Amino acid sequence: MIELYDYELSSDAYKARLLLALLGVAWTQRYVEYYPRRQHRAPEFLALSPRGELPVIVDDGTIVDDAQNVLVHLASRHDPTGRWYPQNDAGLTSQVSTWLAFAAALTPTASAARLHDGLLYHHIDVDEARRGAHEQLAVLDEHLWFNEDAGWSWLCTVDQPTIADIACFPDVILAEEGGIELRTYPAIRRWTDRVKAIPGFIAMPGIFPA
Amino acid sequence: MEAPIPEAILWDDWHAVAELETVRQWDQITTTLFGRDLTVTDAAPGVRIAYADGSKTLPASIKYGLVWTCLGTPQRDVIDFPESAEPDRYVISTGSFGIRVSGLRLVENFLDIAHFPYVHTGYLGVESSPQVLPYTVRVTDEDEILVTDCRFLQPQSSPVSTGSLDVGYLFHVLRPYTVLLKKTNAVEPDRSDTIVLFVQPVDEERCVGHTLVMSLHAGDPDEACRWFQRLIIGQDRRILENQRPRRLPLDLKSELPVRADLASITYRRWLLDHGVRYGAIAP
Amino acid sequence: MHGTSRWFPVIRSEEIVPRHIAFVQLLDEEIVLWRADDGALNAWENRCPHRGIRLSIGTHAGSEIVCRYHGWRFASGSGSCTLIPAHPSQVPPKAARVRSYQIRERYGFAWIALGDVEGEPSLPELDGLPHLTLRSMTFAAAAADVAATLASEPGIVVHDPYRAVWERMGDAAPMLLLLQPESSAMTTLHAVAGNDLTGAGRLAFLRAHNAWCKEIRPRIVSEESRSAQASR
Ligand SMILES: N[C@@H](CCC(=O)N[C@@H](CS)C(=O)NCC(=O)O)C(=O)O
Ligand code: FES
Ligand SMILES: [Fe+2]
Repeated sequence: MIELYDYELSSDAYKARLLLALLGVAWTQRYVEYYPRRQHRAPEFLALSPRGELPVIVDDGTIVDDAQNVLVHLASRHDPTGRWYPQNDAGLTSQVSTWLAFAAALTPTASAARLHDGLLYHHIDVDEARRGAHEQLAVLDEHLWFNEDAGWSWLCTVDQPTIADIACFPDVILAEEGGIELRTYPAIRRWTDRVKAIPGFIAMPGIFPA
Repeated sequence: MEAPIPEAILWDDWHAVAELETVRQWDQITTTLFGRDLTVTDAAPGVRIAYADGSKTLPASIKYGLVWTCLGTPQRDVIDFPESAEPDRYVISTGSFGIRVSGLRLVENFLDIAHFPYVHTGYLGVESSPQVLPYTVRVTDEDEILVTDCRFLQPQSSPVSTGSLDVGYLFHVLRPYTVLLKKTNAVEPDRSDTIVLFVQPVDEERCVGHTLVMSLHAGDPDEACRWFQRLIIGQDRRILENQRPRRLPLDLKSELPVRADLASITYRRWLLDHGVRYGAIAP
Repeated sequence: MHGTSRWFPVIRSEEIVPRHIAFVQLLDEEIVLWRADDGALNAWENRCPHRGIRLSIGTHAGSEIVCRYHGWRFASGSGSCTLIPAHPSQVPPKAARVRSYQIRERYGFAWIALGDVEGEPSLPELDGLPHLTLRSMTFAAAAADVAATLASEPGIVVHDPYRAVWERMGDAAPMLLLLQPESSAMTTLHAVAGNDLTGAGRLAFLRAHNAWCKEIRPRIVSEESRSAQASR
């Protein structure tokens, strides 16, 4: 059984919930009150994962942390089709890695701006966070526009979504909660529609269902 | 440019500006009230509140796990809730959340049951049962707004409820930025839980919602209750940030009310009558 | 701001994909564009008449848009409300109607006019030619500033505040550069060329134009205004 250390407003924890739902894998929830109680920095949680970040999963005794790594783990271990994390085509695997890294880089930008505005993280430099997010979104919109033009619906050049899409989607769509409007990124808006249309998609507060 | 000073009814009142727990965690936080930056500093057992530029120390008070201040001259105390003294209740602040919309719009959202099936789908309402039956609204002798006789079918009215429940609601607007609701407790149906929303007007188009829950122990365990409140406000936030204009129009003709909006209409009129213009668009 | 009595391109037609609610801005007005399942194209004010929620967060239900807040439904064509779920047996009042704008599809774009306008969108330079629309790009600058930068580029002739022609060397067909003033501080540049390139040639052309847009960006947008945009 998979245990997920979870917080309902965490974009990173939502990545895990979303992939678990798409894979149809059962799991149990362990609450970690990230805000306001900061339980992710409490000794009990740090004993489990010294990085002190959500999500963490415990899968049959194996502890896995880091949002992107959790996706890699879940897809490698629980997706018999192998489509969410394609590993038998080196070019494709490398594309997935690139976008997993891109997703991680949204933490100090789009995600930080959202924490500042919504969860009152007063110490974040929100102007700098938003500026960085706009640079990244411009890159993403261009990539998606040219992919669409070539007939690809997803981040990678493959005809189905991968964990790259799952990793990038939450902080991109939630960027608006950090005062970063997506209107001028039309290819991103169309891609978020497609992600929501994936069978088995689940929402979270701040992300509407399809 | 100095931010405008709001009406005395707001300026000379107490406003929640932080959760105490957050101040204790960080030693010092910054926040904004009526466009003025403040620092709130841990000074256990109390807190110290001052303008961020150091120009003035402000009155500080701690109640319900929240930190309160007043920029003018307080004309009345922080509201007292009799049920906060009942021994079989939790009295907990469940988190403070920033929302980019006028605080008046947040109060109006709190008074609105018609959005439950669409915004809180599967929790406070279901799309198959969106009908809002007539309810009663009146302004009391104490000059507060009281909404009664509200009933609504809810699939999961609280974290502990196990099936759908025809829930009775009462709403009570006590001050322009303070509103509470009482709803049927899922375990003891003849008693109710109280949820209070204190809105901190950051400026005319931004606010912070501070939520206080006074639920029966017989109901939700503390942790689940906190989770539930965050879920609900997280769902409302995205809606409210997409409301235009961000300020609340007081001209009753500029948005189109229906019968279900009786509470909202009464609130807008009441604000108008009390001269509240901060965060509003005057007719 | 002037400009209400003319047609502006606001999006490439093919970007208004099925069951999608596209979101643009023209002269400070927020507008949603959506295609009903029967093909009818709608351009509406991005605002629900009930309590002001943006329809860009609503759902596209085929022939209606459903508002996220209270589920009011608005019909393709008229913009009239067809259902108020809180009062399902009540006929929605006439005033429950979303404001709509005039819209046309020509030269591969959707065009909107906010006010009274004479005639149809027209690009005489392209009549009789094929058209290839390119990737549009948004700049944090007034249309006049974008136009000034365009005018300083070799080969580009600015015809009016919102339109320039690029006679490209080695290219038989001209390219039209069309400005969409989103606000006094933001402008989208659309481009359409009179060619029918395909395959690798087409892609190289699209890429080159995209690279050129990014190259002129720093010449239009100062660092300050970019950070001002970021913090809005
Ligand atoms: N804390 C949130 C939500 C508080 C709350 O619970 N609000 C409304 C929904 S807008 C409500 O009726 N909740 C009812 C409930 O918990 O049953 C807010 O500030 O809006
Ligand atoms: S605001 Fe759109 S239905 Fe109420
Ligand atoms: Fe709500």
